[in-house]
Amino acid sequence: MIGELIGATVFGLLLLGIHRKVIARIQGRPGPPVWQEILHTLKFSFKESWVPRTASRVLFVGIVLIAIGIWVAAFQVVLAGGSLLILFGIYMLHKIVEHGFGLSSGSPYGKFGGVRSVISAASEIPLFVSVAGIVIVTGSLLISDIEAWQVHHGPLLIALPLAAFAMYLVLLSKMPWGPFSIVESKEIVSGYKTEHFGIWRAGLEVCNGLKTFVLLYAFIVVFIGPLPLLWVLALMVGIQVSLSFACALTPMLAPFDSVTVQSLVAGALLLYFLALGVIL
Amino acid sequence: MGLASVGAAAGSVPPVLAAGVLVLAFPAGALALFRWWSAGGGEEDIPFLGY
Repeated sequence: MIGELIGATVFGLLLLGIHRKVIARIQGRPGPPVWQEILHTLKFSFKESWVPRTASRVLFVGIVLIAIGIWVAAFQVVLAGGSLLILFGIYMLHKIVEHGFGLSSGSPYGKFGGVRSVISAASEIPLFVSVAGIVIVTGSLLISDIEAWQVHHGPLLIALPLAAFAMYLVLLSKMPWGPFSIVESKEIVSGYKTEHFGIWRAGLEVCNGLKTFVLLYAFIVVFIGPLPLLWVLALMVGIQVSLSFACALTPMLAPFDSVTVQSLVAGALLLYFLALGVIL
Repeated sequence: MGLASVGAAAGSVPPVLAAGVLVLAFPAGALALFRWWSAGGGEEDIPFLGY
């Protein structure tokens, strides 16, 4: 279990490195090497660390532990084929964690990032609509049951393309340098993570690596079905590259527009699934 | 963490318990490891200016 956890974290960081590389190539820059995020984590872990005077010391440090902890829990839920509701509850919890990061530092940039995290919780609305569609079709919230359903009926991606699209939108909303990355946009320096430096930032990078792995892994397991590990990893890279294209080719939305777009998509999908529920 | 992982793999530790141990111990272990090899802390070389 510990080996899988470390492997998932490193692979997630590698995916984030691929993300940076693809964005850079599209923008005509050479970009960093794909293992840059792994080096980044190591770099921060070697640096001298401190807690700002304006920070709440307990929250400043504790929130890093919580950030990693919730994604370790999410990883366990996906591996064990647990409930989608627990997994998606953790997605929501991550927004609160980002908020905690921002508020704990006492920095105005961190606070702005934290407030934007709360606003961008609207990105989770398509998630719940997506869950509604999955339950209507498969009759279960357990990932293991959903996998079993797909073994007999084929990938959910074909049965429920719009639910997959909603989930893809959620993945996009959690990618850095994307259209919905309002929590860490440049006008607020680095947003909620501005003041977390040194080992605290290294911890945050560990969380980001694990989060990226869990998000993509869950998408594949839920919408494509159980596959051999090598296929899963190859598909994760493919999906990551497609997300990177979307991030590179789409300008960052204003906070208001970000929420509006996601709410509109959720509303349209809700109508579709209500109709689907009536028909089925 | 190692004991919980090996125990869960061998079937002597319930998977839920092993997962709980990892949720609590992995973040603490990662930060402790980083703390151990990071540069030593000292006085700040840039005075705090306030916001």
